[in-house]
Amino acid sequence: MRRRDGAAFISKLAGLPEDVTGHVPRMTIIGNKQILIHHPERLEQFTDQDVLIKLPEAKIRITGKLLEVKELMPSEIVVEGTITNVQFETKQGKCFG
Amino acid sequence: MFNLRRNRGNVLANLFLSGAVTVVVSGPEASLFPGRLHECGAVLVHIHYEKEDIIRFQMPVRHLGLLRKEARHFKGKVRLEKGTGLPFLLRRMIENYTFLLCSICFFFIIVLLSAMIIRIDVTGADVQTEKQIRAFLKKEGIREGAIRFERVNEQELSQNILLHVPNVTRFSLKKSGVVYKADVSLSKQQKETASDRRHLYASKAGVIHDLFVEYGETKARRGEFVEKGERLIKGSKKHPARGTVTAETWYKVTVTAGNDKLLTRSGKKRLNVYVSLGDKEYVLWKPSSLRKPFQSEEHRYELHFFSYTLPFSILTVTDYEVEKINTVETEEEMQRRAIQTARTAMMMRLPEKARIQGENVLQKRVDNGKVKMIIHFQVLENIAN
Repeated sequence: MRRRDGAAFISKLAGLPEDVTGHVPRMTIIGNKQILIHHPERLEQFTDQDVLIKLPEAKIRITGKLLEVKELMPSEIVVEGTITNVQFETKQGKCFG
Repeated sequence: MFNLRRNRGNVLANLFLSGAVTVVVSGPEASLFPGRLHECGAVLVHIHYEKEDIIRFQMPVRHLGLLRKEARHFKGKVRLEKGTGLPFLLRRMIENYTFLLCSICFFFIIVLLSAMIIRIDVTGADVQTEKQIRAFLKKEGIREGAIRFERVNEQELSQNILLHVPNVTRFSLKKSGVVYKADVSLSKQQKETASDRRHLYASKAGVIHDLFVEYGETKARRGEFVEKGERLIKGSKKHPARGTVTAETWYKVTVTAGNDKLLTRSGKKRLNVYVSLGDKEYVLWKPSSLRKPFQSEEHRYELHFFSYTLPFSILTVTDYEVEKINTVETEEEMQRRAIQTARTAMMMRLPEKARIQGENVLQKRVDNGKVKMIIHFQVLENIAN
């Protein structure tokens, strides 16, 4: 955590986006068909309607129809299907995306 | 983004090359299983939720150890369904080796049959010339039923045919599939009218040796000297003269023979085999090269699949080692060789039925280690024309 903070600090100092230097999670959503998440922590749970992915500081709950995890690699998760809802769950409370 | 996509492509390609296994997990905690594997560092793809508590996914073969470790703590069932990717494909191919073998055999048989000459069509020639051309082609190895990979050197062949088959003015040979098409043009033969050939005249000067008159009246006698153009046998308009007049004629030949260095093949040879693909040539077999000077002979073998030429051909280059031989001949030997060369040159020039009766050396000069000779030949040949 400390390392990540340091990296974030340096990138902020250099005027760069935060995800360039550290292992900060990054999410790319393509339409409502595909979600790419870089640097996740783990895949918590998986069904065809509900995918729960743990990030360092939050959890993402993806709900939809016929969901399928296309690729599950150490630094990347790709979820495909018809996505209806993407939800962040932080420790403080819920935040809807 | 682009970079990341390329990275994913690499992962999938690796998965194909190293082989992947489809795993089916069933049990109450099945939905948690991929996450646990992921935590251990395994790569999973195509994770599919089949129905209640059944999950199907693919993983690389090399991560199966991680799967086993996880499966020990897992309460449900883990089943390996089937293998995909190159190693499994290869194994399946080896299991069905008969099919593979048959396809390879089929390919080779077709290539072999495509190289076979099924038919030779000769167009534009009369029956006799066609027969001669076919005989000549057969001697060159182009006959029906022969398997021939080497490309026909059309220019050389047509030159040889023009030399050896009379009346042919143009010859072309084209390969279309398994059929060779020979196109021949014949020279128009002048019709010999009776009046043209009424009498027989001497085509050369000479002393008459023998006379054979089929029809006509003899105008010359045996032992008589006749000039060129002299009438030999007289015929009538209705019955033109026919016969042969053998006469002794004379020829002069100049030859030179010297102690030239001869190049002979020593018998050592090296066969290099190349596969040429497009303009490039790849070595298939290359023995150590010869140390001494050598001559090379090239042969290109083309492969056809039906009438299509395959993009690769086989090229063989045979190197023959040559040696210089210093022949030290005496003057007498050189003379004998000079006469022999002159004799062969004469034989080439003379018609078939002519015969060399005798030879006399008119002049002999030894100069700078070379022998220069003028030889006089007496030849018996038919001069009636």
